[in-house]
Parts: sequence; structure tokens; C-alpha cells
Amino acid sequence: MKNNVFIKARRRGKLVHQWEGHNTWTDVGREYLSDMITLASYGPDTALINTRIKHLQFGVGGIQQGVIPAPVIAAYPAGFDPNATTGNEYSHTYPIAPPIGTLERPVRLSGGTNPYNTAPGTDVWLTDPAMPKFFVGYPTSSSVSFKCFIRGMDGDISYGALVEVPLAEAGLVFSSGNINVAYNPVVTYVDFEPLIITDEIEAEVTWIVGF
Amino acid sequence: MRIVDHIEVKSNLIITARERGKIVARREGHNIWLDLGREYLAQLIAFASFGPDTPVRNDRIKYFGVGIGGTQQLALPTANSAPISPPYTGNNAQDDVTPTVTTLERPVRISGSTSAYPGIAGDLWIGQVAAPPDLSGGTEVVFSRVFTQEEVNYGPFLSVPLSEVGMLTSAADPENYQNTLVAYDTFDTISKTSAINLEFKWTIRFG
Repeated sequence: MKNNVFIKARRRGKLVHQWEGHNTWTDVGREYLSDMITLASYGPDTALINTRIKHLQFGVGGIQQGVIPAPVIAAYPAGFDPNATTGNEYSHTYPIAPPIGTLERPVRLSGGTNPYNTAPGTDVWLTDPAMPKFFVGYPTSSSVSFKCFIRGMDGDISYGALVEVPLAEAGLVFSSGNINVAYNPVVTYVDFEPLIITDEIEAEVTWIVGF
Repeated sequence: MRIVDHIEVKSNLIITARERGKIVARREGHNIWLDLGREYLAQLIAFASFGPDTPVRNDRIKYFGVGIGGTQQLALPTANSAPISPPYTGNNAQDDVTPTVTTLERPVRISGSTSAYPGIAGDLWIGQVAAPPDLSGGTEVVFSRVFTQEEVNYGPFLSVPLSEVGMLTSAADPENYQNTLVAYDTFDTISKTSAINLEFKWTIRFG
């Protein structure tokens, strides 16, 4: 099986973190594909759904997570995911217990530091193509790639009291996702060795979906 | 059950021929999701550009087409003689394990003329599947299409030895005999006559 998620991070241009692995498709993602190829009715042809993959999302959940700094725990407490886990249980190698439908502990790209239940509706939880750090490409005729850059020096993810944020999970999110909501359904999910985002880090995440 | 996975497109086809309601032939087997189908899925799930969001493509599964081509044609003498050939010529070299297949090998009309390929305006080469399809399986979808007694068999075509079927998207032109496919199957011949309704149930599963 070929890896399809590639993460690199640089500090002042020097490569300090590199990881690659393979995602899992969630049930939400599989149902999405079934719906996506389907017409609901003819004359005029009406698609059942019109959503596409549009966003990436990152989190501090996932089974590979290690020690999490106290400010990060305060901003992203465990137990708010749909499975009410202890915080680091989601695994892309065993996505059925707990069943993965969202990230376990999503993090903001920008905004405040309130915990999930009091986060204001202006916080930004998903990458947005309007930001000039998100790219779609076609590495082969039967695959599509989604690439984004996280620039800690621009205040992405690491800001205020969140000096060091150890990312350890990520997902692809539909165009119907709400960038101002923490928990969105994810099409695919991956957990990975923690990547610590600071104000000196620029990370590059490339996610290839192939058929 | 696969735990560590990558997405796979699996498909299964059941073909049932009924004569006055009674099953007279049945074929069941795995078929192939073609390279063009993989390309289709990759392009379907992404936007080409943002603000406004513009899809790369917007076509969905809509048609089945049938033919007398494929390596499993068991009635070659019939398929290669009048009145079937011409107009439906071909070599029956195409199998359903090669993902580079792009079209039916010897497509037949559902209705229209008896002209040789490419036929004439008004010829109907592919038929719509039922909409909406069966989505009760959640991560799978079942497309179905019944080729009725009057379809395929008209004029001199009293018995047509069908042996291949293809799945097409809404981008296909029903009056074009050579549309590209996303999935393909060749099966042991079923001779379609005006006494037979032929049902295709094609399951696409993402697992």
C-alpha cells in the first residue's frame, strides 16, 4: 500500500519533521462517494449531492499523541468529540472503535482559546481555499491532491498562549463544512507522529486521494 | 474486513433475463471499474477553482449500453452473420480484466435504424438507469436498467446475442455509438429476443 499523506515541517528553512502514512476513509466518506455518483432525478438532471472536498482540518487528538502543553489542553479539552473519548483514542489503523466521523480534538487555525463549548462563532477551524495556502492538483489521471501550508510565523494554529501546538491528526472536509465550527464530518482521517507548530514552523501537508 | 484501507471501487453485476415473468437466464459476476472511471472519480470530488467554487466535472452515472462484443461472446456465428453483422461489426477481443478499455466493442442500438456504425441521427445507443438508484446499502449504490421486449430487438434484429455491457455518465450522448465508459463487463451470451426483458443490476461499492 502506497502512502498518501505527506507532512514536512521546516524551521527557518531547515527540515525538522517529516512523516508519511496512509489515511483511512470514514463511513461518511464512503457514503459520500456513493451519493456523489448518483442522479436523484432526470429532466433536468439533478444530482443527489453537489459537495466536493474543499478543506483540511488538523487536531491534537489521535492515538499517536504524546504530552500536550497545559494551554493546549485548556483550549482543546478531551471528550467533546461524538464518541466522548479520553482525548487520544482515534486511530486510522482501527477506525471502528471508536468509530471515526470527525477529528477527535480539532484545533483552530485562528481565533481565540476558549474550549469547544464556549468558542465564538468567529474562530476558524478549517483551511479555506480563499487563503493563499491551499492548492488542488492532479499528480496522476486517477488521483487528486490537496496541499496546504501552515505558517506558524503568520499565526496559523500557534498564537497567544498556544505557543506549542502538537498536531497529531488531520482530515479532509467537504465543501459543506463550516469553517467556524469545530466538529465537521471528515471524508478521510489520519493520525500521525506529533508535529509541533510554533511561531517558527512552516509545515506542508500533501494529501493524495487516488482511485 | 479491511481495517487499514485505501478506497477501492468494487462492482458486481447481476443480469436476469425474463420471459413472461419467468427467469430464463441469469449471469452474475465481478466486472471492472475502468481507468476512465478512476479518472472520473478523482475529478468528481474536487473543485477546479474557488470563489466561486467551480467543479472539475459534474456528470453522474446515468446510462447503460449493451453490445455483442467481448471475449465471452458464445454465439459468434450469429454475431458475425446477417442481420447482425453488418451493421454490428467487430472482433470480440475485449476482456473485462483490462482497465484500459474505453468503449463497448460492438455496441448495439436500443432503437433506431439498421445502419452500420456510426448509425444515423435518431439512433439510440444507451439507456437511462432508474433514478434515483438504490442507496439503501449506505456505502454502495445499485444502478438498474431493464431493456424491455421492444428494445434492442426491432426490425430485422429478431435475436441479438448480447455479451457486453458498459456503464456511462450523463456526459454521454445517447445518439453516439462510441461513448466512453466508467465500468465494463463481458458475460456469457444472452440472446435477447422480443419475448425477453433483460434486467441489469449493477452494484458499485466503495470499500
